[in-house]
Amino acid sequence: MTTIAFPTLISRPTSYTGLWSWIGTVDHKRIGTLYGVTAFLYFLIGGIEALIIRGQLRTAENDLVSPEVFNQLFTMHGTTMVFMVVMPMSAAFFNWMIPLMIGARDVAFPRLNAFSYWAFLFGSIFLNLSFVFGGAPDAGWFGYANLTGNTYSPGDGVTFWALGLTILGVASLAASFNFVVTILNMRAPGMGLMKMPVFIWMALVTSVLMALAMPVIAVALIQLAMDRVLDTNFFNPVAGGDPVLWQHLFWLFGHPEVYILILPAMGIVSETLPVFSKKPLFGYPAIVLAGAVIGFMGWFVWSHHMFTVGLGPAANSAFTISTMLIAVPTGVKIFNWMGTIWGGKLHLNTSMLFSLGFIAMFIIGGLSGVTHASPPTDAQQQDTYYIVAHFHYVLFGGSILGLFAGGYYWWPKMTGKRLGETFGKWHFWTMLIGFNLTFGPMHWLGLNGMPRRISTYAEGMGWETSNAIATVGAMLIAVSVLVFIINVIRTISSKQEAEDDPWDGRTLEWSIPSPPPAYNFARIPQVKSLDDYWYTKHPELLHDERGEQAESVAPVEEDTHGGGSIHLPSMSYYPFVVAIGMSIGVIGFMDGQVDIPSTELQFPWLSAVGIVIGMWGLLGWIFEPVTEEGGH
Amino acid sequence: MAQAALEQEQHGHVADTNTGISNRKLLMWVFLASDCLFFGSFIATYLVYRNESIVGPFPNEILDIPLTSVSTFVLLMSSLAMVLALHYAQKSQLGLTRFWILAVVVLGSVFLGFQVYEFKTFVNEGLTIRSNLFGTTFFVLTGFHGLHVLMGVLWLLGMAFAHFKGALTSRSVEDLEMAGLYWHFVDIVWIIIFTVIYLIGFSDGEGIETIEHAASIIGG
Amino acid sequence: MANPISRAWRKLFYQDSGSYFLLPKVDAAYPDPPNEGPFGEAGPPVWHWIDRFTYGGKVATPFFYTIIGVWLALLTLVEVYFFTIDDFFGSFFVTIMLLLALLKFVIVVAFFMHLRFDKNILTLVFTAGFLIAIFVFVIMLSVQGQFAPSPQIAP
Repeated sequence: MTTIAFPTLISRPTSYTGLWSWIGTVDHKRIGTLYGVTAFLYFLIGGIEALIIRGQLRTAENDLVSPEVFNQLFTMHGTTMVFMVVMPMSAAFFNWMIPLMIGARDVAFPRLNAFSYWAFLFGSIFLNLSFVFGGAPDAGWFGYANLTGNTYSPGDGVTFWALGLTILGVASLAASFNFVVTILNMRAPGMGLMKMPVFIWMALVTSVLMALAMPVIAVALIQLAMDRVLDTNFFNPVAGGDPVLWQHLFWLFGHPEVYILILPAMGIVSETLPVFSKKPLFGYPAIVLAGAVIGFMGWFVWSHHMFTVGLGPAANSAFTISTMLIAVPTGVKIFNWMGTIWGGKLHLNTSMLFSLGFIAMFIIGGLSGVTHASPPTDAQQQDTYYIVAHFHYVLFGGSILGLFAGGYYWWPKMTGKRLGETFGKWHFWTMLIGFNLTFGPMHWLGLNGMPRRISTYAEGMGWETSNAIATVGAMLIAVSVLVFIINVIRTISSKQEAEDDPWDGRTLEWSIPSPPPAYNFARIPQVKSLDDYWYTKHPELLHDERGEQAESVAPVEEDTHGGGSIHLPSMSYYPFVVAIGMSIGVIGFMDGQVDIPSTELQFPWLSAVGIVIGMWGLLGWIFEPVTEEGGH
Repeated sequence: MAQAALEQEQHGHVADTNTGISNRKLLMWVFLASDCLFFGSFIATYLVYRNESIVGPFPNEILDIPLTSVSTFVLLMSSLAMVLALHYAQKSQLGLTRFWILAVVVLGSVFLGFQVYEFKTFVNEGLTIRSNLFGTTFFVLTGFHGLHVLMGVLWLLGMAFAHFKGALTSRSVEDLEMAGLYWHFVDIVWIIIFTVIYLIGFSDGEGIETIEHAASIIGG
Repeated sequence: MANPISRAWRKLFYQDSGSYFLLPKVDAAYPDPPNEGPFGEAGPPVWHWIDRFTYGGKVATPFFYTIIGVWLALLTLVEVYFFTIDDFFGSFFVTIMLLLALLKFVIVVAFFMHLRFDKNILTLVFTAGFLIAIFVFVIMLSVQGQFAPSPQIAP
């Protein structure tokens, strides 16, 4: 390769145990675990923020927290849940399952994968540090200009938000590139695009959406950060700036973002339903096409978040039509899922219950969403609790329930043990009931006029009862999460191991041991059809379910170059270093400016430190070979 | 097929991936697609704020088309040099490869020099990043483009001296192809910026609506 | 042929009856015309010509790339010249500028970035993303009123 030897301060990690092995890991399974654990911790933090919010809103004219703190709470709750829970949890499943389901040994760029995680970790820590350093951002998770400008949001909170989200955006962008290349390029031989599991298709669409949508919010955040730190005029009305531009840029990102949030859960449910109904997925091409169409059409609906901004009847009408149209492919998917369950032999275990709960709750959320699609009705619903109900039904009842379904489904594959069913069912039912108690009343609260983002409300508005019910529901959700945690702890400490294929699964990941060895597949499988592993196990079903004849099994590809060992990418700490350097570089933009003489500019010295560290990491990364000779 | 045979002859190998394109090349194309959206957002911001600046300097007073045409020409020629460098790398002629990579570096640096000169001139004439909407959007858009050019120049400098020591391997040719794709993308972004900001935007002046609107806010 | 109605029908309308009121038969009498493209027979030859011209056999020589570079330089010159005489075009000025820029864009992407000679999937991916970006930003600009006539200062 190259003959340059880059000076290394610390030798490359080689051991697979200990803290250093986690910092230097490039194994997609370990990175998936890191994502999952971190995302779950943020789920708890966001949940605590939500509990305080519900505690404050339990009765009229409460004073549990001050309005300023309340603003920080709902901003951080939204930001945490969207960017630090649902997206990384989806990334955790992508990381774990994409290589296993397509028959690959790792993702296309393992070190870039590690970089994505570390950048996510540092960005999210930075964002949450704002609580300690002068107050969290308090302008809403969507940060409308020019409330977020220096005039109306003095102090550092919003700058933390802008810069922290930029770092998170870079992390997501890197991950999305990785997954697109992996899915397009590293499938097992014989696995054409229309033989991939639906989860992989949804991962592909999600990753393409991330790759295209993240730059838009990066631009918006850079513009906001420049307005705050450098006094530029992007959203400054005095100089002629237009705050509506922020809304356009934000929602141009924001709408594809909500599809990024829901498509992975839809993919998970498309995997669990066939397995637990003992039937193939109904209408595979339709579900795949519907997913792709949702991804494509999601770009043309963003202004339905801006119906009340005054864009004019022409724009409003156009976006109404596109928004109503996008309900169609979603409906196609739902009917196909129902067709999958219909006539099947249902195994109502916890994962299946969560999947069914997903479908039911998502339908409710979708219906309330369709009522928003029309500007006249939206004019009444906008900025009320009706909207809060809608997006919680699709995000919690949709994404979160779907992710839990995936968790219970794939836990045996990831850890070799099954999560307890009794505790799991308690978890499901308390979560479902609590969730409906919390967000159901919000529908009529909103229709009765309760606005969003108010820290308290007057007595005699008629909202007290519903709010009290919602608070009780929130506490029930907290109990359900506690049940889940207890379930996890019991499972970890139990000795009971699961088989490699406990659910009689259909896709390739069930054909390898649980938990998988470092190299995943001893031999890369030769794929002949959709659900190939299922038909390998049950060749007699090939005719009934697919109308095909079983072929003689083709010789499986040998994947060891005459020596015997499989080369895996070696561990590397440079992604960690680059992530730290980049984060410090972005953070330094915020403060610690040093005047450059005879120019009007200031130089952020902290950014210089970050750039130096990042460059060192980048050069080390470039010059080290992917696999060390003699390494594992 | 004729296309595949031609490819074989030109590239020497087709990668053993599902699409036939190597992982790194596909990565670069996906990255360029996302960079399209990145620059697209900044260009859209510029276009939204056309003719909206309240105070000067305005584009019709300050833009220097002849100068920028020369720098555009320089950047286009650097693209030509880049593709020639890749051609000679694929023909395994190390000396010519390095020559043409350095040509790209030189031409790219000349372009950056023009940009720096232009920025300094504008600042002297009163257009800064804070002065008005035109200043903000112009400097941020062309500034980010210049940053991309700078990163490309540094990358190619590294390639010329560090990467091609010794023989050309197929992997290093692939790396050069990646760098080439990046460089050409930077060039086409400049084509768009030049057309939109300079050629089309040259006649922009002060924002009449915004002046009236702002006057009603500030006065009333 | 059994009943008189069928016989009468055949007598009146069938091709081989020699009557005045002839209905066309669906296949034998009027076979389908050969499938032409929207430009008749001119389509394929033009396309083949473009194909050969851009693929050539002269691909991948430095001379070929230099010719492309010369074309790009010429286009830039043309652009700057049109800019100096923009009154001549009136309201078409912006369109022509954008078309010239698009032409340069396509030339660089197709030849310098090798897209012409790469697999079609790459062209598909790039074009799809590019078109989405264009559509989205054009929609945003029109919503923000950028394509409305601009107010003039009262004389």
